[in-house]
Amino acid sequence: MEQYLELSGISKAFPGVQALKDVGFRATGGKVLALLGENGAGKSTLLKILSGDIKPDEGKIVLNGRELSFRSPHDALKSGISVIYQERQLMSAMSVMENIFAGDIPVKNGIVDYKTLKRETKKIIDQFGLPIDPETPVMFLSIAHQQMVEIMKAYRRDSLVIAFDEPTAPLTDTEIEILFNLIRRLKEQGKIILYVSHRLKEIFEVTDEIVVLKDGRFVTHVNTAETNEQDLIKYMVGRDIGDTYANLSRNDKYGDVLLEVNNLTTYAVHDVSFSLRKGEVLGFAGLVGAGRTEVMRAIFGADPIISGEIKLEGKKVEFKTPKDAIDAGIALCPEDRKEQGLVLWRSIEDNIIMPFLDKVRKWPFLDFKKSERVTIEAIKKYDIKTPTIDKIVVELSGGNQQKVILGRWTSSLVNTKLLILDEPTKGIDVGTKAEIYQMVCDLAKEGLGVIFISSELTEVINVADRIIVMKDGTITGEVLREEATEEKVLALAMASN
Amino acid sequence: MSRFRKFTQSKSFLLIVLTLIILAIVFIVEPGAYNRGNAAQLMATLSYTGVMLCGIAMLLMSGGFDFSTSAQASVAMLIFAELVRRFPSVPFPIFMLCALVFGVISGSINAFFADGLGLMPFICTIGMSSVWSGLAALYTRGSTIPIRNATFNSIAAQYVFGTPIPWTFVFALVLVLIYSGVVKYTRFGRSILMSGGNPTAARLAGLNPRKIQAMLFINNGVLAAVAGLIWASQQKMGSPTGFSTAGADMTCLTASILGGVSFMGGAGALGGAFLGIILIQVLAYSLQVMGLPNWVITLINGSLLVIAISIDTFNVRRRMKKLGLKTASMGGPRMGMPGMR
Ligand SMILES: Nc1ncnc2c1ncn2[C@@H]1O[C@H](COP(=O)(O)OP(=O)(O)OP(=O)(O)O)[C@@H](O)[C@H]1O
Ligand SMILES: [Mg+2]
Repeated sequence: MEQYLELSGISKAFPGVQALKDVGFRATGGKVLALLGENGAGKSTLLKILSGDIKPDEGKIVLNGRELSFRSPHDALKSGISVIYQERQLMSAMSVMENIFAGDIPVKNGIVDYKTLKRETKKIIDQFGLPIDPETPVMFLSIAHQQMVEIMKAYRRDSLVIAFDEPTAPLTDTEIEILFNLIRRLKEQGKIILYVSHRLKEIFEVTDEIVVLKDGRFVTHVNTAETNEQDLIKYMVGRDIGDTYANLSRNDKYGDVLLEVNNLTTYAVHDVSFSLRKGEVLGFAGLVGAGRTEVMRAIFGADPIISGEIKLEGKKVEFKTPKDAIDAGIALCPEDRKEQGLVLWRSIEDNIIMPFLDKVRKWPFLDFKKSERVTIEAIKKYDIKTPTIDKIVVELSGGNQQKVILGRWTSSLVNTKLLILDEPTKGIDVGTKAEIYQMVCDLAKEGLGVIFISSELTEVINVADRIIVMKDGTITGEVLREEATEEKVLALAMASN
Repeated sequence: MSRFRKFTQSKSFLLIVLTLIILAIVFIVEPGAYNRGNAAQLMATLSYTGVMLCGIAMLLMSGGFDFSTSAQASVAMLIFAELVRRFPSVPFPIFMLCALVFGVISGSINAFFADGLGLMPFICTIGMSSVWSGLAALYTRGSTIPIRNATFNSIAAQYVFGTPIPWTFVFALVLVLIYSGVVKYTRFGRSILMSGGNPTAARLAGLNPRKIQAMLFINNGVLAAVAGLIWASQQKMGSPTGFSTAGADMTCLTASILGGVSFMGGAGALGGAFLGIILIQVLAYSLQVMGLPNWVITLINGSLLVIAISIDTFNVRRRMKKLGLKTASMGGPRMGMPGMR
């Protein structure tokens, strides 16, 4: 008998937004079905409904002919549905094994059977081929490994339906390969797999069918083999955006040297030197953990510098705090939006004006008109999906949260000379990605220096004028865009020195 | 949603309704209970707790708390009482100033531990509370210091044009309004809320969460001293234990949480907190005038605190869930120091 999961007429409204409207499709066993759509299209909401976390206003979920209704996530798990959320769900102070077996910890005579627990966990970890110790607390793992623990947790439950919500966003190539092998194995076992990602390359690599959502509505259901990128983008965005990279209008006039970093050493990076001219877009490539973020944090005054010097417009600078750096015209858009970027339970407006409180005031009060204007500008510029400017950020979709940070640092309030973007397109949909690339180029034309960090090779080698590659806290090489290929950059990123 | 509908669903509305219900019940059960004297006394209590509330609620918004608030208030008024006793000929406002200076110092000590050294505000202020209470007990041997300055003692006995409303209450009310204006409408207020909500992100956005919290610790010390002076003027004495037994700082904590200032930092509703304090005091007074013993009041106060914190923690859990975080990993409310991670 063929296994299937059928959704029909699913609707869900949040205050001011219709997140899903009458969505229905059928996923069959042994196939991977991709859910595709712009930021805020309703993908995560749909998966949360599947996991029993959110109750739909209307609609039916049928699994192998049986209609399901969940009162809690527990019910969904029992019915054989596991969802790996966009946001990690681990108990960070608990060990890897306790997380993987959460809810089913083996017990002998009323006490936890640690031996079995450890053995079983080890088995799973070995199947994945990952260097993780079952007894380490999850918080000590890299974000990529935490994500893998999350995946192992779902794998362990052996559910019939497994849904992944942007699983690869925090992963490096190694783990992505492991994940894809796993997905292929699960497919062979006849599982029903749902897969959400904004990376079209992955969609073509690993999925069989694609369902596209737009503004909470079902658009189409196609076979992956019978479609192409251009069509998908058209379905998602509703218009043709053409070849993202070829259409970029770049800056070709560089000014003076803006930033000079000489022999920078911190606790995480060693002897890093590079320079950046006004109007230049400098890419930083490397594997996750190569030390790119740490270099930027040091420049930005967020981490202490052990030795080395930083010159801005030829003058030596020493920033004690990020505030000093901001005052000097540097903006850093951090990679981890939840921990470092946003104050989640405050409004979009509060988050956008946070660094510029000084500039939106009419002594001694905040200038609410101005702050509203600036916020609306950002919302328009990035097409942030929200009903009002005072919606709290935690209620936005993942990609829209990212856009709030971008909106903050590129707002007209900033008098930025150097813009540092650390993984700015994480979780961002294709249409907006293209806009971000163009924005980067436009800022360069205005004479800004831009540093663009990305773990997506294609992106970094196509957007940046020059690419610096890092590994283990040092710079291993530098390539110009004209000569950059993925192989070349990857070789440098993995170079053994 | 219309403004009115929104208001009827707010915490403030609930607090007002509850207060009115309590008042109504007392009025039915014990019609003679509410006389001028009682009303005046209720407002006298609200005067010093209201002042203290401003300090405590602001600190909570930044993610901190000061358990030594009552102790600081006690020491401040003892300093004042002792100076007045020793130097009766010196104008007393100078000594009021001394009490405030003490508030600055004690607040700075807390700020040093919590924000300079990065210790947990929770723990180091509990320590400081013992230190101040211990010093007070040591110096006074546990007895009170009477104040014989008639002018000072009359401050708390000034009423607004023949009403039972003392001017000190008006002072507290104005203070609450000012502080809630600061939170809502100023740059500084916004910085407090943002750095209380996520110190790491706030620091990367150019704010200085530690400095902000340090200022609020000092602010809290000063307001504690003011509260102490109001109490001293009402009671015509300085007492080493007056505040601690009344549990004024705990009342303020309960009220803040009832009013919507979150234990997690980053949420602000001073007006609500003040309504919370009114509710608690009205409840306590009602019980007292109905002849219930003091321990019942303590019991009810304690229960209220637990309920308020449960509600807050529940809300926090819901928020954590929204974030997709498991609550088990939290290990209680986050009271750590901003800017550490
Ligand atoms: N808890 C919530 N409260 C209010 N609105 C919400 C809530 N969760 C989601 N929304 C809204 O529902 C819409 C759909 O969000 P959802 O997270 O499903 O988008 P998504 O397709 O996963 O986007 P992304 O690609 O950015 O992750 C968004 O407009 C979002 O703001
Ligand atoms: Mg999502």
